[in-house]
Formats: sequence, C-alpha cells, structure tokens
Amino acid sequence: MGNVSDTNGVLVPVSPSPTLEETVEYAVDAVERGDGGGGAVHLVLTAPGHHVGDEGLDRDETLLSTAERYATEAAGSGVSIRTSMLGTDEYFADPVNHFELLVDYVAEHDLDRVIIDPDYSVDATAHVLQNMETVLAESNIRYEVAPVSRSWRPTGPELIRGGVIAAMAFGFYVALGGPTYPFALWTGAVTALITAVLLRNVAFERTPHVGSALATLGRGVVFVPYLLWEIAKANVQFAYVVLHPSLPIDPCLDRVDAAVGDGLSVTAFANSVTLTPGTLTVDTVGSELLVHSLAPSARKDLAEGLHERAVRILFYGREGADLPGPLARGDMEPVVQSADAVAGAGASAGDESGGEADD
Amino acid sequence: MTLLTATIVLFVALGVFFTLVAAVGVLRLPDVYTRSHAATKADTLGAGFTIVAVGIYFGTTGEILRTALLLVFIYITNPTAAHSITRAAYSQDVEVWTTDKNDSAAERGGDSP
Repeated sequence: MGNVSDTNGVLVPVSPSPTLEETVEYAVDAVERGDGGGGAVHLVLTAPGHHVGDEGLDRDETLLSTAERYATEAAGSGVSIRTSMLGTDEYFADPVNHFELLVDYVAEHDLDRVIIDPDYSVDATAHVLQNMETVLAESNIRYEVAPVSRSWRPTGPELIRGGVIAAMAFGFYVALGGPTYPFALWTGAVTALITAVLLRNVAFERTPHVGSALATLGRGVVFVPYLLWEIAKANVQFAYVVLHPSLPIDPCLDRVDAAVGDGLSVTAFANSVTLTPGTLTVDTVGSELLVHSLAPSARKDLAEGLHERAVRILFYGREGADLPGPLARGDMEPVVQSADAVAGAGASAGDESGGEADD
Repeated sequence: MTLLTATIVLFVALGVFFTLVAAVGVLRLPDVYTRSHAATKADTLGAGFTIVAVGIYFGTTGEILRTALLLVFIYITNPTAAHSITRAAYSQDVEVWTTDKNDSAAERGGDSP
C-alpha cells in the first residue's frame, strides 16, 4: 500500500465562499470514513498575479489559514492537513488556468480525488461560467461536489460588486439621459438594482478593492492624456507614411508575451497597442499577443516595452515600471518579417528566421 | 464668437483631414493588416477631433459630458473591431504582406537569418 496519504488524499480548492467551512468539514469527514481510516486533506488556493507588491496577498493568506482552522477543528488523529498556494508567480488571463494548476497539483501529489465547494469561484467570476468539472473530467480526475446547503444570502464580495455595478449603471444613466423628475429617477434606480443582481458575478474579474481602484483611477488621470498624446503622434506619423509617395512601410508580425495579469490589463494593453504608433494587436492567447507593426520604429517601441510599461504603471503602480521590455526579457519573437528587417535587427532580434504566414 | 467659430472650424478640418488620411490609407496600403492600421488610427483621431468640435459647439456641461462618453466608447470599440477583423483574417491564414513581396517574385523567401 505504501504511504497512507498517497492512497487517500483529497484536494479541496479554496475560495472565499459561504460554504467553505461545510465543504472542508465534509472533506475531512470523507477522508476519515475512507478505507485506511486516514489520509491527507490538501487545501489549495490558486492566487496568481502577485508579481508586483504584496497587494491582496494578505487576504489570500488569511483565507487559507481560515480554511486550515476549519479543517483542524474538524479533523481527528488520522487526518493530516496541508495547505498550499499555487501560481503566485504567474500571470493568468483565463480562469481555466486555475483549474490546470489544480490538475497539476493532483497529479504531482498523486491525490485520490477532488472535493468541490458548490460555491467555489475564481474570485469574482460566477462558478457557472467556467466549468471546473469539465476540466477535471477531461483530465480523468475523480471529483465530487460537496453536498452542503447553499445559502441565499449574498456574500460580502457579492454585495461590493453588486453595489459598484448599481452605482455605475445609475451614474451612466443619469449622465446620458439627464432625468430630472422622480419617476425617471426611481425607474432608473430599480433598473440599476436589477442589473446589479444579474451581473454581480459576471461583470468583474476580481472584486474591486476601494484602495487599489482609487489608485488605478488616479493613475488613469495620467495615463489617458499620455495615451491621447501617443495617439496624436501616431496619427501624424501615420499620415506622413500614407501620404508619402513611396509608401515607406515594412510590416512585421511578432509574438509578444506581455507581463500583465488579468483580463482587464491585457485588454488595456492590447487596445493601447492598437491605438498607438503603427502597431496592431491581431490575436491574443492568454497574455500572449500577436502584434502587427507597420514600421521598424513602431516595432522598436513595442520591443522596448513602451506600452507595456504604461499599462503596468496604470495597474500596478510605480514599481510596475521596473521591468525590461519584452525583447530584453526574451518574451518577443518574430513570426513574419521581411528580409530587410532581419538584416536590420541583426543577431539581437532573436533566433527565428523570417518566414511565411504561419508556423 | 468668431474665435469660437474658428476653433470649431479648425477641429472639424483636422477631423476631416485625418478621416481622409484613413480613407487614403485603406486604398493605398497592401493588405488587410496594414489597412486595419489605417482604419483604426486615423479614424480614431478623425472622429476624436470632430467630437471635440461638436462638444465646443454645444458648449453646455451635459452635452460635453455626452460627447466625451461618445469618445470613450469609440476609443474602446475601434481597436476592438480592428482586432477582431485582423484576428479573423489571421485565423483564415491570410498572408502578411512584407517588403519582400514587393520585389516582384524575383527573389522570394530568401531565408537568410
């Protein structure tokens, strides 16, 4: 038989849900009831995106230790409790990445099965949206959903998200329509409330945090004029290129792995790349962008991380700027480029030779 | 009053100029990717200047707020649209035009790294 924990190990993905305690208790119970009479409960939290600063790390650590406390309170002598935080040094743009981490963990520790909290969610996204069960089933991992009663009451994070959505929806309505009489205001408020209830688990990728949201908003005040200025410059350059009789362009296609975290920052990065000097985001897979550039100068800006730095400062603050550009990091490789560009870039551009459209 | 009118005319003229550049770009540039550059960039600034002119013309806080919102949405949707068009092209394996292809078939794919 070998080690006890190998034969009867259970993984419980941890997330801030109202049914966490019951799920952990159920898992501990299940391990105790199992043959061999003991085993290990692995409480695992996936928490990517703590690259810059320790913002949010405290909350995650508290959550994990809370889960551990539930488990030790419920556990008898035969059950060992282990906790683990995964993915802290990675950037995720897709909820599925969280599940893949869990799958890797299960394989690594040779665990028996996964017990899922019915209210498990990757922070702010509704559990119905990304189907963890599908990923687990595809990887041939046994799982069960803990039979715990789900409560009707909204959780704290849900209230925050709902409140923010309601405020934004109502503010937008007032700004656009400018209603003045009570009936319009009341119906507007009711509509905003319905929107908030429906979208509370859809609209945000992670629960907004007042401090960091205000900081991002403050930095946005700097970022937006900067972006507008870059757009204006891009246009003047573009007008020159387009109206020039010989049309001096040298298009290239590059794959860039952007050092930005979640969906919002990747979107901001991709869109600012598209809006600024001669670069255009063609495709994204996670944080990996396929960028088409019109001329070598635009490509150089991209390689040096001009846009990336701006977006990182926007979302992560000052420390976000202390990172070399994608080319220096080795996160940029050409996909399609002309012979001229290859000669011009020399040995520094990378090991890929210029070729036809796709790999 | 005349200064105001002159400012409005200036912004509309700039808007028209950059929209024209976008149109010329779409016509002159060689493939779907480069044409998308034209459609997003010049167009975005063209629309931007025009909207600024509209905001100045109406002049009241409400209208300025609304035109500013209009601009915000153009700046979000425009790159997104360009992205989805080029993405569709790329997934259909539309070739990326490079300067090599201009040298009329004589030496294509000279694969020196």
